[in-house]
Amino acid sequence: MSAPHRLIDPRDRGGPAQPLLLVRDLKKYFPAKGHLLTSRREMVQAVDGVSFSVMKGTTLGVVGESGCGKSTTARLLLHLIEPDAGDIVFDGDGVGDPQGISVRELRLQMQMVFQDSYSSLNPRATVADIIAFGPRSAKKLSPPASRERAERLLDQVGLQPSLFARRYPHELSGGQRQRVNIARALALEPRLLILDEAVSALDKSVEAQILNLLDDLRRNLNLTYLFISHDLNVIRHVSDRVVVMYLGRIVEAGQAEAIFRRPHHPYTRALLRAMPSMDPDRRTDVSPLTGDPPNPINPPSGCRFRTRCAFAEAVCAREPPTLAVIGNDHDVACHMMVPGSGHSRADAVAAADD
Amino acid sequence: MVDLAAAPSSLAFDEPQGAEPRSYWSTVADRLKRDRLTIGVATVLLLIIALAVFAPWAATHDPLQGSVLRRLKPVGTPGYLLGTDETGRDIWSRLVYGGRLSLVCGITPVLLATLIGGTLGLVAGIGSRFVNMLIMRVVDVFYAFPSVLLAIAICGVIGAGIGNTILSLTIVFTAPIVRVTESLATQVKGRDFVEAARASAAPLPAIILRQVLPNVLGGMLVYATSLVSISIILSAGLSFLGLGVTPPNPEWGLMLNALRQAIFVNPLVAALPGVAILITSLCFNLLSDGLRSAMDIKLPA
Amino acid sequence: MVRFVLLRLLHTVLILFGVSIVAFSLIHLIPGNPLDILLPPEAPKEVVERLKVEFGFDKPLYVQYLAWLGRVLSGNLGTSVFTGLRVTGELLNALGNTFMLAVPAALLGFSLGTTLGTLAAFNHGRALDKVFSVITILGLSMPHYWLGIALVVVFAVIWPLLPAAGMGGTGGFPTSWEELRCLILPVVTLSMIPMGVIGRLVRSTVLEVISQEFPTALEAKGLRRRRIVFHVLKNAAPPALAIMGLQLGYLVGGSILVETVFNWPGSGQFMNLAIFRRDIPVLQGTVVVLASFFVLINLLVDVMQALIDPRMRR
Repeated sequence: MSAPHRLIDPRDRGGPAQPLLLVRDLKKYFPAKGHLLTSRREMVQAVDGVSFSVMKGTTLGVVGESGCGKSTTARLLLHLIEPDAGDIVFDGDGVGDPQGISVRELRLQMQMVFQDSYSSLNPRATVADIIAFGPRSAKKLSPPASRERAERLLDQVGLQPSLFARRYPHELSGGQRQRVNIARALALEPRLLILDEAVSALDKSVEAQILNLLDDLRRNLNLTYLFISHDLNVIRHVSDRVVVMYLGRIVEAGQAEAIFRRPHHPYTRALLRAMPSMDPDRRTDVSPLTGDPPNPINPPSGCRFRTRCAFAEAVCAREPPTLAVIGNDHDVACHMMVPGSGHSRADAVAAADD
Repeated sequence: MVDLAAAPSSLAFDEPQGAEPRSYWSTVADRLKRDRLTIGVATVLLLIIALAVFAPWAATHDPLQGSVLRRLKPVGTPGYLLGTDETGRDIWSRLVYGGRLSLVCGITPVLLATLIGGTLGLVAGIGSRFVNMLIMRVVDVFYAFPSVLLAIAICGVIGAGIGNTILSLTIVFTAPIVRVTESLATQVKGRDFVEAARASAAPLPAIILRQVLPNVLGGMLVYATSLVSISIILSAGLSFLGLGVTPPNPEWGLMLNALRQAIFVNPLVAALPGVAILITSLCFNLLSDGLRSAMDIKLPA
Repeated sequence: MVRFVLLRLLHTVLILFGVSIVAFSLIHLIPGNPLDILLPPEAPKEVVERLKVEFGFDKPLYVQYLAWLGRVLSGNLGTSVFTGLRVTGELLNALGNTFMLAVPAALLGFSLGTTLGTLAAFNHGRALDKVFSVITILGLSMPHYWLGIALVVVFAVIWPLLPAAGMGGTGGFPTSWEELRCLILPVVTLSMIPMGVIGRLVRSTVLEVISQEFPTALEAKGLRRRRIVFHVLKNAAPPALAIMGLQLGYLVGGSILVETVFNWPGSGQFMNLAIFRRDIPVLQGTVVVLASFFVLINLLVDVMQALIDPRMRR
């Protein structure tokens, strides 16, 4: 994707070197159903110590299979769900800190585009009302002013206001609804957009249009994106940097091209090998991943991926691997990558790498 | 693989489906217009209401004026369309005037209960777990009484009369309405667009009023209409027991009780007030069904 | 599972507390001094004072409540102001009579309703469906006390086949055809509403089940019609059973209207008389017992549902 835009946003506080979003050690555990009166508290460890940063004007891709915690992370960022632990820092200001910014102030700078579903737009409201709701209620804009902003946004997302403003969601196609979703998220003039599976429900051709729209908007409005998806092709296309999640933890992080060309974590490698290819010479016969996805309620001890990893050893059950730097902006959480970790392949792999 | 970079991002020729915007409610109105049973039922109801409202013109005699000479005349007696009751009053006129009281005692409690119960249910559905627990547990206690029992107990204690009947029934109906509204609100709360509204930093009252309420209204309307049918039967039942409207006011339940003695002399005349209750209640029930089909709603049981 | 039952039990106990508070407060909702209600104005001073102490009206409210609650839990529901008899005994007697009506009415209503509902669902769209639907909705919309009168008119006045009122005989379980005849009209009357409610519920539930794919799969496997119906009903059963339990509770708690029409000495009439005579202890006792019965039925229904359908165990 293109280089970050040079113009500085008037709300900018730290310059281009300061990450727009910094997340440290985010945790969220959900009590498993029927926990009341049990002596042993069973918890779904949905997000277990997630840390990453997003630099201004870039796109961070978050990829993983269903249940890995990426959607929960998105909701934790906006405090739609309360985190159990961890810090969220937006452009240098801690969220919830007395000296930082409040959740409300955060929401005026960070918004989310939801996956297109029948429930993503209020069925009883017109498109214009849907988009204008945020400015009217949260920013107390007058009805005519918010209406005007709604129409301007419709134009920006490629929907003719005269045709679409008074329409209802059920009269729109999937791609049109998703444009409305985007317009709604932009209505509060955020600096960072979280896109949670924003194109997953769309047909491929429509997906391409929306992705291009998002790219245009990013450049024109000087936005930063956090792009969540399970679709590796899309992530590769849109992201500057990528973070790979598995069962609530990050297993690999770094520059997008580096991760896609030279994946190091066994899970990332398996994911990439599992991508179906059109090339008849590269047919996938054997599934790269063995075993069943483990139970998120009681994940395996140590490294969570070890039950499906071909290279698992004793140390993997004992110690959870931490994200270690193994190259220029390339981090991996795997014992094999860390010399001296106790894994038999650790030193061999380190030596074989560049 | 699709060349993601090549597709145009803006499609000026992209158009919405359908020629004119159709809101949800206009779709509902369309479906209703095509539902002949519901239209018929609504017409009958309007007729009954019209008769009650215009009672002074629709009635043929003074509903309170009776004469011992004319006791229990059968249906079809010249001048007395449906006969006379046990004190000689014209039954048709009493039915027409009775409609006023019966309808008021039937509809008003449901209206009040919907206002109170609906608000409580919304708050319970959207609010914190603590608020929800508080409201729903209290509702559970009232739900623990069978409606007839509660209505009679309250009326028995505070006394008879129209006002007390309405009060008693309002209390009885508030609990189920809170339950239904809370359930509907909780369902709506889980939908993405409500999350989006929360994420927009909008104040809670705005979210409830503009996002949740419009989506809950349909279900509430269907339920409230079905409650009216029960309410009419219950309020007439209270009068039947002597706990509701007091004599000599004309009211269908009261008339039923008084005419019980008449069943040995003139059985048909005695049955008429009950027919009035039956038809009205049936119409409200069918109306509720029609609304439910038109709105395509599944109500929590 | 055990956890679920324990939670429900706790919940039920709390509800019962609430119920008892409501029942106790009834007497204090009455406008005026409770004592004036219990006694005629000319009562001598000593009687008034004695009653004051006996009922504990001189003590603060919560003390009165706790004392009353204690008495209730030990089975003592007080003494009727009117008849002087102990309430507990009278109430149990009356309750038995109500059960004599409620249980057969429930059975009749449920079986009729289930049959009509199932037939309607399996004939969806055809005339039979409309007919059965009309019958069930009539059952729901009918003022059952009026139906009672109408039935009396038809079967006791026009064609004197059955007795118009009363229990006949000496009370208690019907031991003769005479006494059984007295049951017929009230039971049929009472069964109308359950028939309507269950009929509509079964129809909609069965329709939902049919629209799923597995009955079609069963048919493709070659199962006979009757077996398919059996399987469908098994799936439709849980919500229907829950509502049936509730209906039984309503029948017992809400039988007052029908009992008045037929002059049946059940708990409903017992309460009716208490209201007119301003017999507060009887009223309180009856309300507490009937409501508690309803709550307990609810509990039973929930537990049974959880047993049948594991998804219900929240």
